[in-house]
Amino acid sequence: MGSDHQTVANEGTVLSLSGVTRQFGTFTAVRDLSFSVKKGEIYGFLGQNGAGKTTTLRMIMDIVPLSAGSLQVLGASRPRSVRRRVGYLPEERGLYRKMKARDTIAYFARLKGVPGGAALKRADALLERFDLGAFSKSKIETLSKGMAQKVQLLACIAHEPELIILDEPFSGLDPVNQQILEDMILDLREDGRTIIFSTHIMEHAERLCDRFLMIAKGQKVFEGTLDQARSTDEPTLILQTPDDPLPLMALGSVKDIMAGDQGKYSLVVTPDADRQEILRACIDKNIRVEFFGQATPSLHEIFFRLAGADSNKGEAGA
Amino acid sequence: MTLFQLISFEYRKYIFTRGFLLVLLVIPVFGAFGAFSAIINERAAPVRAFAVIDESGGTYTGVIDAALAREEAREALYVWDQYVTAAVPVGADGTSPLAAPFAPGDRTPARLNAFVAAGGIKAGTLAAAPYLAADAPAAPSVRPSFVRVPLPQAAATAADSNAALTALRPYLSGDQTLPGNDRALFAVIVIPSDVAAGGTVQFWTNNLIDESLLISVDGWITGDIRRAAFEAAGLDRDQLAEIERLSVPVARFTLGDDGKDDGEAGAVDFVETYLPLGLAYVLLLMITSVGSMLLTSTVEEKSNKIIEVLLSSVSATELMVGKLVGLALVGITVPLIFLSSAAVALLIAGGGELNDAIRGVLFDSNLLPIFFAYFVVGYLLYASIYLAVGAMCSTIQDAQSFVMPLYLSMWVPFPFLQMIVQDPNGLIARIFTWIPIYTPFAVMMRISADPPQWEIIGASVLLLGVVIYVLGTMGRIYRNGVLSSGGAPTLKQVRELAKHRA
Repeated sequence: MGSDHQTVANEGTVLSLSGVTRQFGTFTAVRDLSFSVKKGEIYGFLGQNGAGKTTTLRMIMDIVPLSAGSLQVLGASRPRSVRRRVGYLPEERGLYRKMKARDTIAYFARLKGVPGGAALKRADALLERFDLGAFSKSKIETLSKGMAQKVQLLACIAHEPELIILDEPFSGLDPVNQQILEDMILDLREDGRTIIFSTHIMEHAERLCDRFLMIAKGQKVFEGTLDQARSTDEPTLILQTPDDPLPLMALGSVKDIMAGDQGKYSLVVTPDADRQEILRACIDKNIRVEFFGQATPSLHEIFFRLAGADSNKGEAGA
Repeated sequence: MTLFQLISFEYRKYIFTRGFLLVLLVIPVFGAFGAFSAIINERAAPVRAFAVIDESGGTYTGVIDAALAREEAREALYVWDQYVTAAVPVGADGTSPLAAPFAPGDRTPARLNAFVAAGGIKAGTLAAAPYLAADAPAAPSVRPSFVRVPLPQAAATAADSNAALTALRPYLSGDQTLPGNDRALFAVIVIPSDVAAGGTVQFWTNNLIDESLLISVDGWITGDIRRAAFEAAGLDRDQLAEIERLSVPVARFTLGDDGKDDGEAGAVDFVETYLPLGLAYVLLLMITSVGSMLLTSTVEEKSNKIIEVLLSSVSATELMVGKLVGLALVGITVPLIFLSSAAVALLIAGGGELNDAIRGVLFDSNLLPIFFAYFVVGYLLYASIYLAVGAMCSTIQDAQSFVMPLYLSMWVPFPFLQMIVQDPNGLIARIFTWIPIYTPFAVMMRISADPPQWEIIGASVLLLGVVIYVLGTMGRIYRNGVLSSGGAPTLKQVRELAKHRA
């Protein structure tokens, strides 16, 4: 995986990494990582804590230099030169506590090259649009955590970047604010922006992402759509019954049976398994069928399988 | 543009705060307080009354009265001369239009007597009226520090000195005030009848701090007894007065540059010596206060996790330069405000020996350019260290344990200050000049003593080299350390941070 993936930057590609590696002393945080992000998509970046997500995003932002490999951001091989067209929300968030919400957004916009007056106007407009107009003159230290996080997100998009990189944007938010943030991300895509966000909460990625990348221990384990991810999985059927389904193992097409909650069993079957035959076998063997159908594994399950998450304790360093 | 944003942000963060405005307000208030406290003290000091119980039959009371009158006349002539010098413009020939004894001049006993005889300040004011400058202030007046009051009735009619003293006790303790005014007695002087033969004069007072009256009275009485003894030995009073008037004038001289400006030591020399010394203190204060601002600001950005957002917009080097420049401007703002105020004040105040001296040293010499040059270099040296320490530490406690040795070492030369001032080209001064972290302060303090040029240039080049090296190393530590997490690093980790290129 990885180095064979030669990404060619073309018009539709906003970001591409090729064989990117980052070492900290003897520890390799990211190994031979390659992927690309297309214009206008929401791209999920999934992995456990310490998998190398933050290090990768920092390399894209040119905060941490690459040890090997190359990357292209918005057509430039030196990310520094396109910094002003990229918005970045780091995982570790912070703002100047004594600064007002409006001034904070305007200051970060100015650092990205927006002229003073325009920066203030954009700050006002964003605060209004995202229901924070009343807090425009409040100091950051007086805002709730959720509001401060919103202000920070606004600060990272106030210069109207083409590419927005959000590192764990949902962490620390309550469900209501998580929903608001999801809506914000979808809004931004509507505006034509490309969004990359990292998370270890799969539900968000499942709802939002057009495509995603999974990494474990600094290496890519999957890149593609949710359907593609599911298709990599062994076909599984769900059977709900109050009886013991073990006799089905006699069928050559059933490879494994795993017990779940409420009498639900997952039957791992061969790709060519005949579902009718399995159903007939149930009736023949006096196994009552309450539910029978195709399993659609969640991203969470796919992640566990692909990333071998349970066996990874993960080291710090990303 | 981005760098300008960073600089302006750092600058405004510290300048537009209540604390800073308070500093701006507090410094002149304290300065004015210091300057005027002497005047206020003098003005507010009451005229102190004392009484004399004279067993000699009034001889020494007369001596004391005469001496008091002489002191007052001397003071009056002094303030008169000062007043006339400022208030009456000199004529075309450079001399005062006033006639003797009112024209300013040497304050000889003869002129003093003539001044008193002519009517003192009151008569002088009338004589000077036609010649006064348009904006001349009102004529001065003299207030004596001490006045002798006659004994109150109870003491005057007492049987003996002891009884008189007992009667005066309540006046001394403040339980009773003198008739005619509401003052208590400052002192009671008991002069025994045998004072000329060695009897002890008693000086009764509740104030143990102010000894000036005691010393004066002692001098006056002793002088009179000595004169009497000389007369008894055959000298006549006039001869004696002539002898007493003898005094050898001693004037202080200092060497000027290349022996050209040798001259009598005056206000200029005083200012030339002490103004650079004051500026060295200011330099140290500026560097330490701005340095600690840098430290807090860097640690704040790190512990608040703002740093990563900043680094997504600007490079670590830009951030560092923005901080260094922004806070250097903060440091320079305060002295700049006060120097410009001083310039305006000196312009308004006009002439005067001291004003001319300060103006000369501040604005006509190269002291200020040197001050600012050393501020920049010294600041970069210390500030880059503060910045690197801030970048390595996530809490201010961690940071403080690192900068404490630096802070202490900055104050090390200050016990030696006196030595450098006394012997500006001596061994101690030269040693400190060659230690780069002390070069700025040492040179500031030595500058008025014309230290060897090669030494200043050599030490400055060394300092500059050290600054460039430290700035480079600290820059690497800053860039490498600013995103690190965890507690304060070990020395080994510091070395690692300094080695890698970010």
